[in-house]
Order: sequence, then structure tokens, then C-alpha cells
Amino acid sequence: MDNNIENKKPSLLERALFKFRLVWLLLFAAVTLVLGYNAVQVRPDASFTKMIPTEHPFIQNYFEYQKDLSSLGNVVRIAVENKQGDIFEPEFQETVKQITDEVFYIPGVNRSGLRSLWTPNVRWMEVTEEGFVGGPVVPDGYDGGQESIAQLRENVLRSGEVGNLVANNFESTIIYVPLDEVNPETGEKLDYGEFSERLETLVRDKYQSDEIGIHITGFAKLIGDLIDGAEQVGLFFLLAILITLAMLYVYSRCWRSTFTVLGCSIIAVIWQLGIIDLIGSGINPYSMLVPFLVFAIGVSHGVQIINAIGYNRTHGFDKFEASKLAFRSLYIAGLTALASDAIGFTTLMVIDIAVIKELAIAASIGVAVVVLTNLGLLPILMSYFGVSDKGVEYHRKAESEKHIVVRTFEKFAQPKWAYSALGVAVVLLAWGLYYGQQMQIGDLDKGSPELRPDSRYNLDNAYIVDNYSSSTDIFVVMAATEPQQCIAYNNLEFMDRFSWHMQNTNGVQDVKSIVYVSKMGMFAINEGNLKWFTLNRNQFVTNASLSRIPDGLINNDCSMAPIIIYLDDHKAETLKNVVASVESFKQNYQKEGIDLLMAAGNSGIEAATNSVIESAQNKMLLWVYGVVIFLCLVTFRSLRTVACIVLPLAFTTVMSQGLMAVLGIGIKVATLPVIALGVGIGVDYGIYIYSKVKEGLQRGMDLPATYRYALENTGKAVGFTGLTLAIGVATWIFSPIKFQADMGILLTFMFLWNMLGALILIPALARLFKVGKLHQK
Amino acid sequence: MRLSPTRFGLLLSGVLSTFAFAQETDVSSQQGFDVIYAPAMQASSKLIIKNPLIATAKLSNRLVAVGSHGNIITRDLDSNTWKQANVPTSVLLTSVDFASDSIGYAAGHHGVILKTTDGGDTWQRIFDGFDLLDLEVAFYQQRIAELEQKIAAEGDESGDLQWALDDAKFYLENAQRAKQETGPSKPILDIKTLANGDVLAVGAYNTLLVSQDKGTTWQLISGRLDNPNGFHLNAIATQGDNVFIAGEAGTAYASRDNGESWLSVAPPYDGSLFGAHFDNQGRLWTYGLRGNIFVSDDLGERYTAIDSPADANLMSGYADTQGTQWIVGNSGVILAITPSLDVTEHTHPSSAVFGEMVEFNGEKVLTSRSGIYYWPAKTTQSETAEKGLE
Repeated sequence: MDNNIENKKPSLLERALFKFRLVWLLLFAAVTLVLGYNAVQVRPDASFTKMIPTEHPFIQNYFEYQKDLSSLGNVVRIAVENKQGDIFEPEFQETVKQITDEVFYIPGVNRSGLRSLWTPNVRWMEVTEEGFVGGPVVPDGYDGGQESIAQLRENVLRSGEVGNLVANNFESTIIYVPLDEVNPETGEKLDYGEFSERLETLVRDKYQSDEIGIHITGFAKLIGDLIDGAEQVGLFFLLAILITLAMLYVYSRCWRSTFTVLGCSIIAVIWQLGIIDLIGSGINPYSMLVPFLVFAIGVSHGVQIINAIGYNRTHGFDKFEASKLAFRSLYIAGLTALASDAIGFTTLMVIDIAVIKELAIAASIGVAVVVLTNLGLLPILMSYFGVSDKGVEYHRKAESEKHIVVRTFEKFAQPKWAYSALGVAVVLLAWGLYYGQQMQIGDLDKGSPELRPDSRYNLDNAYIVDNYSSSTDIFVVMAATEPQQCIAYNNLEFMDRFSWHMQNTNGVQDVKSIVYVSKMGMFAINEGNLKWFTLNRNQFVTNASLSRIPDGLINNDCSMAPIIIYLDDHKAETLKNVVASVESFKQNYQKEGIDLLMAAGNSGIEAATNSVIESAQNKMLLWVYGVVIFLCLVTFRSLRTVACIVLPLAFTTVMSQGLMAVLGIGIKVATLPVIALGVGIGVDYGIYIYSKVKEGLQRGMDLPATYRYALENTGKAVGFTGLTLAIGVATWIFSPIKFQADMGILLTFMFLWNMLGALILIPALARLFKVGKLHQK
Repeated sequence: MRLSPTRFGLLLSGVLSTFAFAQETDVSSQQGFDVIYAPAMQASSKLIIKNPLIATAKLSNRLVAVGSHGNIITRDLDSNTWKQANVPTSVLLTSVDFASDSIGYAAGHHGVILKTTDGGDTWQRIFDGFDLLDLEVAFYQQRIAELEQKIAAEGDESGDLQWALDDAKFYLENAQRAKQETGPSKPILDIKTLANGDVLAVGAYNTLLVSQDKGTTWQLISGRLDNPNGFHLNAIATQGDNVFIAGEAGTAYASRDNGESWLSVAPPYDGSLFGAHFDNQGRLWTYGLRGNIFVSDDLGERYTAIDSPADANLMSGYADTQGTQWIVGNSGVILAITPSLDVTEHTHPSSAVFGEMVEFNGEKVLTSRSGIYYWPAKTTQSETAEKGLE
């Protein structure tokens, strides 16, 4: 710190700020009130389209047919399980009937599409000498008696619903609940949170018992659970505030400074949320991270300010002068650091996924806001409150002792420690590079990747996957034809060939499409003779075979038929393989009049997201490192210096990739931004430390002395900043939402590792590159 | 006139069909891919044995099974693995029969007939639906000429000949249009080598084909059967020179001279017959819709209806060395009928739609809409167990 700073001329900014303190305070209060009002309006928003790369051709194709595909996707399945027997028991059937009735009246349910053993649209059918006979699966005159139950069992067996509505082991049965995205009566959009809540209270809470198990899956339930989980994030925020409070007090031993820093940082969060609401952007499960970051960044810069104020107070200035001088000494460094954060965030804009862009915008707004609250408001407030005498006393005492950070890290400027540290770093780097190779794109866990593998939703999902004949990883190829031609024989035959080709692809479990319906129809209109289980060239016969087409297998004007491919899992490798297989078929069998368009279904969309992420990954790293290197070059004008600052960052990036591979965290929408955030914020440490190293070298000190000087001035603050940032995001590790937890783990690791990397490797690299000579003139 | 479901469906489609396909695609304009000519895709046998397989043929040391997408697989005695054969078509194959350990025939949809000379490893396409259409055109042209001659010579007081003439003209027109525009659609439903070395094939709409030169040339001999409604011919059974054809809507035909002359031998039943076999005592068994079974000592002159507990379709059967008849069909049904005609109904846990059951390598092997199964069921074959393994 420049000892002569009190003699420097105050800047225009400083004069404007400290001359009209009251006006500023009132202004800040007014803005906080207005933005606070807006901030309360912010609602968690889990818009599906924002999480996907809307410009990708797969997604464009999907959007074109989104309406036609809706009946396929938006379905909730409720499996009702008899834990102490099979489904052929009167009490159990009564329960299934009650739940069916209950679900029927929940708003948002497409009532005509609702299917269960107790709905009249679930029927058995048989061919007799007289033609078709059939009836509802629950026999007419059902009375729960032995005969009725026996009849029910027979009807179930011949209904073809085993594996579909009835579990393969007959211990549970599904109520299949299609939803209307828009209420046809009121025109209102379906509120997923509310719907999911109703399912919980009306079905799960009411009927789940020792005898009855309830398992619910479906997009609506998933979104409901996500919104639920997101609400818990508020709790984490509270936790982060409490931990930070304790740390601030331990650091400053002054309640006044502690609460002022905390207050200003919370005001920054309020402003950020308020502005987000004003620009109509809302907060999604990804950008929920931003308030935590803003809070942590606010605190870390606030700490610098009160640190400086405490220093000034110990040097005999009153509280007003102490604040003014603290502002004077820090505003340029603070602005630079915050600018580099903001630019780091902005590089995220190169990724073409709306949630990531929103996150970038929200974070940039947040950083801008921190400039105002913690560089502007905080010094003004502190000029009124002042650091308490106890705090000043603690500060004085601390200054006379060697701080633990100084004691620990000053060694690394000595040759022995420096080269050992570099040796260890090289070994770790090799580890990181080796495991980093195994890092995967996309989601790696079974079930719904948004939630934890052991979440209730994923357990329910696993139950249904295990007991019924269907996978939940679905890749849809849309077979587009001229209007009215989707079931033309030639097109069906082409789709059949394609289906068989896809079935022969690794990772594919099963393929379903209108082709299967036509084959089943042929089988049925030929009296159930197996030898007719195929397509027929006679178009009239084919049309007859398709007299009953289940919802969603062709669109209204018969210009598109989805081919639904069930996959083993949704690993990136599997998806890539499937995409390549579709491409190779298209190359070998291109045919006029029919086009195979990728892709819809959760796995199709994930395939698109993965490909965008894969190409964005390197682009983003190039950008963020380019920006950081540029900023360092501008500040220090030396390539060796840039190497000293950037190499520890790159080391952290490599290590985090190794960590991701080892922990089974893939690169995805949630984890990609983390790399940019880690680098953008991590570079601050290097800049702080190196600027002091440079100062020391210029004064002619040798490297160990220089480094001790740098640590004494900034080491403590860097250590504290690393810890506050890490704690701010570490609470996320406990989020029920899997990707938030992944973000939490990675950010915590990166913030801590960047801090350690800067403290240990900068002096070591400085020795390696002999930067001592560089600055000695 | 009674309507079979197929014809009923046809009629229905005209009335109800939501999608009008007034002009159908011209066959000649189709580029690239036609299911008749596209070679069967190389697939993993693991996948093939879970997809439709219809019929089997047993050689002295090998089992051959045929099914969907032109799939033909073979398994050698004392081997656990199935091997996919080289097949130059992708149609659903409905039947297979071997004249010797090396020479065999398979047939299926779109009129395709295949031949192998190496015990089923590689197959040649020797006949297809376009050839059948040529035969049909010639057949109806000749018939029209005959009828016109007859009318000119004898007159036609009742108008029956004129009716027949109009019918023949209608069928000729159909065959010609199919040849030029839509392409062939009739499946061959069964194929068998007869005692005299002729190869007989039956199919939809009274299609009856014979080859007297091991498949090189084929004759359409549908006219030998009295089948005015053109009902489907579903299955062939042979023993010595005796030949039996089971057909749609209770039609059945018998020949005692390797198919030269035929008699209509319908059982007292209106429902379709899907399969037939002879037992060791020379008794004829035929069965079909809704579990109906008939047995005859005299090649169909008189039948005895068996009191069957099954009500699923029965597709095929055989007699084992102990004289038990095994008959399999839809919904996982497996019937065992003792020589004293006691019937036991078993249900396979897969509930599969079975095509055939055959004894091979000491096991009972089943073909079905969902692939290969065994009886008694292997634990890994039941669907739930299979799920558990994954």
C-alpha cells in the first residue's frame, strides 16, 4: 500500500461521493426499495426451450413438428403397486379405480386420453369366426368377486397391455395421464408446479401406504420437482450468509464492519434480482447461481475496503478520513478486478444456449452492481459507522504478527520449495491430463439427469423402467413426407428398413413407429395369423391395417411420422453413435419423397445440446483465456509475467477436467459456464499478488523478500476471498438438483485451487522464469 | 357371401380410410430400395432371435429358422449359437422346407421364393411377385380365351359363364395394373417338397404354384382347386403321395397323387385353418382359429373335432416319437394331446405368438413374433427374468 496515498489529490469521483454522502444514501435507499419490490416478483422459471440450443438444426426440426409430437411427450405415468401381492385383488382394484377418478378431475389432464384398467378406452380384442370381438378390460358387472377377478385376469392377458399398462410381474399397474399444455376451456397455460403439487397431495399422500406404493414419472412431475428443489436454494442462500457472517467476524472482530459488508452485499443481490425482473429475464435453475456469486464477490471486495479502513484507522485517521482514503487506494484495483470478472462472464455469450446467455447477463449485471454497492455505498456507510475500537485493536495486533498465510506460503519463493512445488504440480498436471481425456460430454447417470440418481423421481423412474417394457431415453427421428403420404406403402417400407437398421445399432433397445401399428393391423385383419405380420404393398390393405392409430404416431395431415428409438442410456457416446447410424442410413438409402429428420425426444435434444457443447467447449476456453491473457499483457506488458499468472489458472482448468472425469461429471449446460467463471474470477488472485511482486522487485528486493512483502499486503485478503467465494457456492453441493450440486462441487474446487495455485505457483514460476532480473533495473 | 376379415378390411378401407391414395406410386419410378431385391441386412444373431421368426426346417445336423426382414438363421447340432445366412431379399419369410441336407426352399411375402444348395448358408432368389404376376396374366388370358370359346360354342343360358368371364377379366386387369403400377402384394404362405420331388407353394387369394424342375420354372395351378371365393391357402402337410392344404374360412384340399388332382375336404367348421400335420399313424391333424382342432383318419373325408381347452389361434404342430401331438399358437399356447386324445393346455410364460415348435438337440425350440423361445421355458427366456439380467 502506498504510504503516501493521503497526499495524493482526491479524484473527481471521490469528491462527488464523499461531499454529498446523505444524497447518495437516500438515492441508494430509494433504488433499493424500487428494485427490492421487483426482486420479490422474481419467480423460478424452468422453461424447457431456454435449456436447449435453439439454433441447432435438430432443434429447428423439432420445433417445426413440436405440436405434432406433443402428445408423445407430455405424459405423466402413475404406477400403483400392490406391495403385498399382485394386481388381481379386489381391494387393490378399488384403489386403482379411486386414483383414476381422482386424476380425472385434476385440471390439465387430457381426460379423453386418460388410460388405466378402469377407463373404458382400455380394451381387449379377439378375432372370432364372426369377426372381431372385444370389450373393456374390467368386465361388465364387475363386483370384485372371484369370478370377476378371474375374468379381469383373462382380459388383461389378451389386452396386450402387459408390459405397457400392467407390469411384467403383475405387481403394479399404470395410470397413463396425458396432459394438455394449454387448458382447452380456459386457454390458460398448464402450471407445472401446481399440477405436480396436486399429484402429490391427491395421489401420493392420500393413497401411499404399507400396502400401496405410488410411483410417478413424466415431464410435468420432473419440472415440478425441479421447481420444488429450486425453492430449497433459498435455504442455501441463508446458510451461505450465516457462514460468511461468522467468517467476516473472525476476520475483522468488528460487528459493525461485518454487518455493513454483509448488508451491502445483500443489497447487491437485491439489485441484481430487481434488474433481472425489470428486463423480464426471470431466474432459471442455472442462473440461480448468480446471486451466490454476486454475494461472494461483494463480500470479498467489501473485505478489501474494511481491511484498508482498519489499516488507516491504526495509522491515526478518523473514520471519515479512513473511509475516504480506503476508497482512494482501492477503487482502481477494484474496478479492474471487477471488470475482468465481468469480461470473463461475457465470454459465455458465445454459447448458443439461452440459459447460459441469461447466466452471463445476470452475472455481468451482478458484477456491475457490486461496483456500486461495495465500492460506492460501503465506504460511505463505513464513514458513518467506522470500525469499532475492538476491530482496530485486533487489526493493530494482527499487523505486528506474521499472519498464517504469510508464514505458510512465503517458503515457495525459496528455490528448494519452489522447485518441489513445481515438481508436484507437474505430476498433478499429468494426472489431470490423463484423466481429463476420459472426461465425457453430456450426462452420465441413469434416469433423469437433472435430479440426483437417488432422488425420489429417479427411483420412481427406475421402478417403471425395471417393471415395464420401456426405456425413458428416447430419440425421435421424424420421417417427413408430402401431405397424405406418411402411410404410403413405399414410405412405410422405407421406415421399416430404417427401423431395422436402427435396431441393429449399438445402444438401441427398441424402435417403435407407425410401421409397427401397420404390422399389428395386418396381423389382426388376417385373423391373427402370424404369417401376415408385415407391411403390405396394397395401399388399401395398408390403410385398413391403420384404422386405429394411437395418438402421436402420425401428424394431422399425415406429412410426418415419428420413429421412436428407445436407447439403453443417454451417454454422449451412445447418442453420437445413434446420430452417426442415422446419417449413414440416410447416405445409403436416400429416397425421394421421404426425409428422415433428427431429432426430438429427450435424447435427441440432448444429442443436439452435446454437439453444441462439444464445439463450444474449446471456443469458450479460447475466448476466456484470450481475454485473460490480453488483460494481463495490458497490465504487466511482459510475456513471462503473463505466464506466471496464467499457468496456475490453466493448471486448475486441467485439474478440474480430471476431477470431472473421476467424479463422473460430464461437460454439460450446467458445468460448461463453471470453467469460464472459475478462470474469470481466478485471475483476480494472480493480478493482486503479482502486482505486489512487481512492486517489490522494482524496489530491488530479492524474490523471497518480495514475496513476503506481497503476501503481507495481499495474501491475507486473497486467502479470505478464496474461502468466501468457495463457501458461497459450496452450499450448492447439497442441492437436490443434480446439476446445481455439480456446479457447486466444481466451483468450490476451482475457487480454492485457483487460490492455492496463485499463492504457491506464482512465486515458484517467478523463480523458474527468473523474473527477478526482469524488473531489476 | 361371408366376408373374411381381410376382405372386410379391404371394404372398410374404401369407406373409412382417412387418407386417400388415389394414384399409387409407379413401381418403375422407385429408385434404390425395394424390399424384394434389397439383401437382408447383416444383423447380430442376438437381435434376430428376438425379432419375428415364423417357420423352421430341421436337417440331420442343423436347424434353420426364417422370419422378418429376410432373416434366415441356422444353428448346428451341439452348438449354442445362431448364424445369419446370406439372403438376397428383405421380405417377411413365412416358410422353409428342405428336400435334402443341402437343397432347400424358403418363401415369403411379395411372392418371393428362395433356394439354397449349401444347407442354408447362402440363398438365391428364384422367384418373386413379378414372376407371379406374369403367370397370373398368362393364366387369366388363357382362361378368358377358354371361356369365350366355350360361350361361343355352347351358349350361356344361365349367365354363369359370363360371370366367370367378367371375373377373369377383372383379375387380369388387376394383375396387369399390379405389374405396371403397384407391384406384387400376394404373400406365399407355405412351401413344401413333395414325395415325387416337385415343389409346391401356396399363398394368399388361392395362389397355388408348383415347380417340377427344382425351382427353375414355376406353374400357376390355382385352377386345380375349387376355390371360387379365392380364399387364402395357409399351410401344406404331406405324407407319402398324400398332400393336404389348410385354408382360410374352413377351406381344405387333399390330393393323393402329389398335387395332380385335388378334392375339397372342408371340415365341419367355418373358421380359418392355419396349420396341418400328419402323425405317425397317418392321421391328418388340422387346426386354426380359436383353438379348433380336427383329426381325420382318411385324408379329410371324415373329421373328428377335438375337445380343445384353448381359445387362441393354433398355428402348427407335430407328432413326437411317443405319439403325442404338440400344437402351438397365439398367446403362448402349447397343447399336448396324448394318443388317447387327452388334451393338456400349457401357457408359455412369454405369452408369445408362436409360429412353430420343433425338437432339436434334445430341446423343444419355438419360433414366434418375438423370436426364439424354448419349452419348458428357460428362466432367462421369460421376459421378467430377461429384464432382471440387464
